[in-house]
Amino acid sequence: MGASIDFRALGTGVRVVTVDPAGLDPAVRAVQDLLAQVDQACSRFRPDSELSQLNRSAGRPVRVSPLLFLALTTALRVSRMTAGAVDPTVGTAMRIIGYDRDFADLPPDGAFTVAARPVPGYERIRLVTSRQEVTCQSDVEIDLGSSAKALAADLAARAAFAAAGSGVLVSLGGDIAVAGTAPADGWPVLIADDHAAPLDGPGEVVSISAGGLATSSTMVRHWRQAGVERHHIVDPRTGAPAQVHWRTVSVAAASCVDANAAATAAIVWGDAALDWLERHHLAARLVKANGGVTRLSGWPRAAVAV
Amino acid sequence: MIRAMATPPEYARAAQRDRGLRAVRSWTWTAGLAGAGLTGFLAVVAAGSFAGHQAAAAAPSPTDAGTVPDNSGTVAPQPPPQDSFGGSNQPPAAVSGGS
Repeated sequence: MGASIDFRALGTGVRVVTVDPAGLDPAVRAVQDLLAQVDQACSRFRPDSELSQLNRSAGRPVRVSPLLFLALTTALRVSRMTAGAVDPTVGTAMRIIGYDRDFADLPPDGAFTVAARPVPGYERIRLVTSRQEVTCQSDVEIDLGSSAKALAADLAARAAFAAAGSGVLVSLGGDIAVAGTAPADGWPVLIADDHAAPLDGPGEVVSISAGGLATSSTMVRHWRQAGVERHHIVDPRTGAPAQVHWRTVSVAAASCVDANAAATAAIVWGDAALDWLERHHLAARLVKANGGVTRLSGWPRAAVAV
Repeated sequence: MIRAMATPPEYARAAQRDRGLRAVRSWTWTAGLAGAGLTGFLAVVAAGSFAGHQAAAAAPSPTDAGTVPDNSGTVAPQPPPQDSFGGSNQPPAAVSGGS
C-alpha cells in the first residue's frame, strides 16, 4: 500500500503513509515542519517553548502565536466536551506524580514528593480571541498533553495531503488522522495496547477513510514512584492517575482530536463512559483490565490481521 | 377681594424648593445615564474576557501548514463520516495504541 516511513518526534513514534509513493518525501517534510512548530509552541519539557514561558507568566496576560492559541482553544473545547475529564491544568499534578521530564528520562522509581490534589480546572485559563491573549492564574500549570498531540496529527495529515497531493495517513504515537482520498478499502489499522506494537502482531484490524482514530492506554508510559505504580492519564478530580477500569480505549471520530478526547475521557470515567460514547454515536472499543472487550456504536466485530 | 400673596420669605422658600427639586432631577438623570453606561461597559468587558471561553467564534488560525476547520463552537464530539469506518482484513498500514 503506497509508501511509508517511521521516525520520532514529540517524544513518540511517527508514521507517515501516502497512497502515491512519489508523495512521501514532500509529505514527510511537511509533517516534520509542522511537528517542529508544535514542539516549539506546546512542549512542557522545553524551557524555551512558548508554553513553558506561558506557565512562568504568573497570572499576567500573554500574547501567543496562532498555533499555541489554537492548541489552547482546542484543549478548552476538549475540556468542555468531556465535562472536565480531560483538563489542560494537570501540569502540576503531572509533576507531583513524577512525570516531570521527557518520559525517556524518567527514573524507574522516582521519589515521592507531596500528595496529589484536584487540578485547578480549565476555567482558570482565559482566552481573548481578539488579542490572541492568554491569562492563566498563577497556580495553573498547563500540560497540553494528549489534545495537542491529536491536534498535531490532524494538522499534520492536512499538511501532508497538501504537500503530497494524494491520500495520506499520519500516526503520532498511535493517534491517527487521515486526509485526502484513502485507498479503496480504507486505511487498515491494527488496534493494540501500545502503538509500538509490530504491524504483523496479533490484534483486530479496522479501516478508516476519513477523520481520526485514537487509542488511550494505561499500559504505556507507566513508572513507579516510591514503589507505587503510576501511569500518565490523570483524573482531574483527584490529581492522581485514573483508576484502571479500562486499560485501553480506542475511538473513531470525525477528527483525531475528538477521538482522543473521547478515548482519554473514557479511561477517566470508567464504566460511566459507555452511555456517553453511545449517546454521541462514537464507535469505540474498550478493553477491561482483565482483557474483556466491549464494542460500541458500530465498532466492527473482531477482524484479525492476516 | 383680598388675594393671598406670597410674602418674600415664602417666595424664597418656594424658589429654594424648586432649585432642590431640579437638582434631584438632574442627579437622577445623571445617575441613570452613568448606570446605563457602566452596565454597557461591563457587558463589553465580560463578553471580551469570560474565563474559559473565547471572545468570539474562533476563526481558523493560520499555521504554516494551512488551517483546520473551525469546530471550536462544537462542544459535542463528532462521529466519523458515514461509511468511513469499519472492519478490515487487509494487512495494517499503521498501529493505533497507547503512547
